Order: sequence, then structure tokens, then C-alpha cells
Amino acid sequence: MALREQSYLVLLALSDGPLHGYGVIKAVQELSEGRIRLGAGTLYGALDRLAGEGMVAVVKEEVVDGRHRRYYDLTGHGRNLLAEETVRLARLAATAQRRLRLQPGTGV
Amino acid sequence: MDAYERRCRLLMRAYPPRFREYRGQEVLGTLLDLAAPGQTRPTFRDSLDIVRGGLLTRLRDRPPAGQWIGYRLFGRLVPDRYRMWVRDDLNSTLYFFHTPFLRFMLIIPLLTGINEFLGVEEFLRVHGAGLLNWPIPVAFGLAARSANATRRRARDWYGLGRIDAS
Repeated sequence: MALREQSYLVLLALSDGPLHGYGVIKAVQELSEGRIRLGAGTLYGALDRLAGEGMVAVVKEEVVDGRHRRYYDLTGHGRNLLAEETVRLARLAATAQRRLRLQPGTGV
Repeated sequence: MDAYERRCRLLMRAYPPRFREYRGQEVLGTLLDLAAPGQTRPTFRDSLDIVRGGLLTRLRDRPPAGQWIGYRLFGRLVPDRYRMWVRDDLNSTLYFFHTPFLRFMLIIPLLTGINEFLGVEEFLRVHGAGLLNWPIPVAFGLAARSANATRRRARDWYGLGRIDAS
């Protein structure tokens, strides 16, 4: 099953360990080199969907400076799916590079 | 509460109450984290994103069209997983506007048909009761009564006096 880029980036953001909502937004921004800055509505829509599909789960809740935070983490299923999708994307990128007759690492 | 937070809370009304009860503080916390120092309102893009997220959430956890019509028009109860949607629907002030209205729109052609077909108005007039347009108040009464009955039945069935959003 192919993941949407947004869902893929959210899962990838969580692969390093649990993060709260704002942490995910920052991590996704970093991973996408500033290209994608999720809004709160989009983020929680994606997290709800991923939680509904059993890919992420809430692991911790806390209140910091009066702000409620829930931490999300990948489930085993989420991690497997992320790994599969990464292999698929790598294969696709390799194929694309072959087609474009580029050598990997040329930076073009 | 500063202006930024107040505006965020206002925008978050796009989300259904059941979501706000359970996740509202968390989403608000994230919105506060997103704010730059001195920012007095969420950016236009962020505002749109919250409203969009709220409306999509409302669409996502409502019963499918067939069940929605059965519930709204005929008072058929929906599966248990939608009980929080039912709770919000029953608590909404709109309930006593849209539900009786839609049922009224359903009943009125039936009563008008009966009126025409059986000649009720003519019968009443002959017997000294000139009740012109009787289907309108009767349909209204039936619609309001059935909306109320659905509300009571749903409250009992889902135990809505007891449950909360958790």
C-alpha cells in the first residue's frame, strides 16, 4: 500500500522516538527541507487516520507550561509499513535515475 | 487568555464538541507552540487549515448517508460507534430546527395527498369545521413530536446521560 507523502513524513518523523504534535511539525519541516510545514488541522487529521489504521499510538501525556501534550510513537505495524514504503521509494528513485541515465550522487 | 488563544479557540469550533472535549487542549497547545512571539492571530493559512481539519473531522465520523437519512427522517438508531455523534447532534440547538423541519417536509406531501385523495377538507367543511390548510399544523405537530420521541429513545438506547467523550 502506497502512503501519502504527508503520512510517510509523519511516520518518518516518529521513527526516531515519540514526539508531540509540535515536535512532529518541526521534524516534518526538517525532513522535507522546509518544503512542508503541516498545519495543526492537517497534522491531527493525519495522526487520527494513522492511529485508526494502527500505525501510531499515544504513549505519553503531559502538561508543560499549561499546554497539554500527547506523545505519539510508531507501532510495530507502522514501523514495518514505513520500512516497506522506504524500500519501494528507493527502488522507484533508482529506476528513475536509470531512466534519466544519471549516476546516483551526481546531485542533478 | 490572550488574543491569539481566543482566536484559536474560536477557529476550533469548526471541530465537533466530542473532538474538542478529548483533543481540544492538545490541539490548542500545538497552536500555541506554533505562534511566533507577539503574534496576535493565527496566520490565514493556519486558520484555514484548522477550519478545514474541523470540517473534515465532522464529515469523517458521521454515519454514512443511508444511516443518516434513516436517523434524521425516521428516527432509526445508528450503530453504537456513532453514539458520540448522536450525543452532539441531540445536544445541538440546531436539532430542534433541522430534524422537525426535514420530517415536516416529508409528512406534508403525505397529508396533502390524503387531503386531496379522500377529500378531507371538503368533508370537514360540510360538517361545519372549515379547517383550511389543516395538514400544515398537523404535520408540524407530528414532526415535532417524532423528533422529541427520537431524542428520548436515542438517549435511553445509547445511555447518553452517563457517557462522556473519553
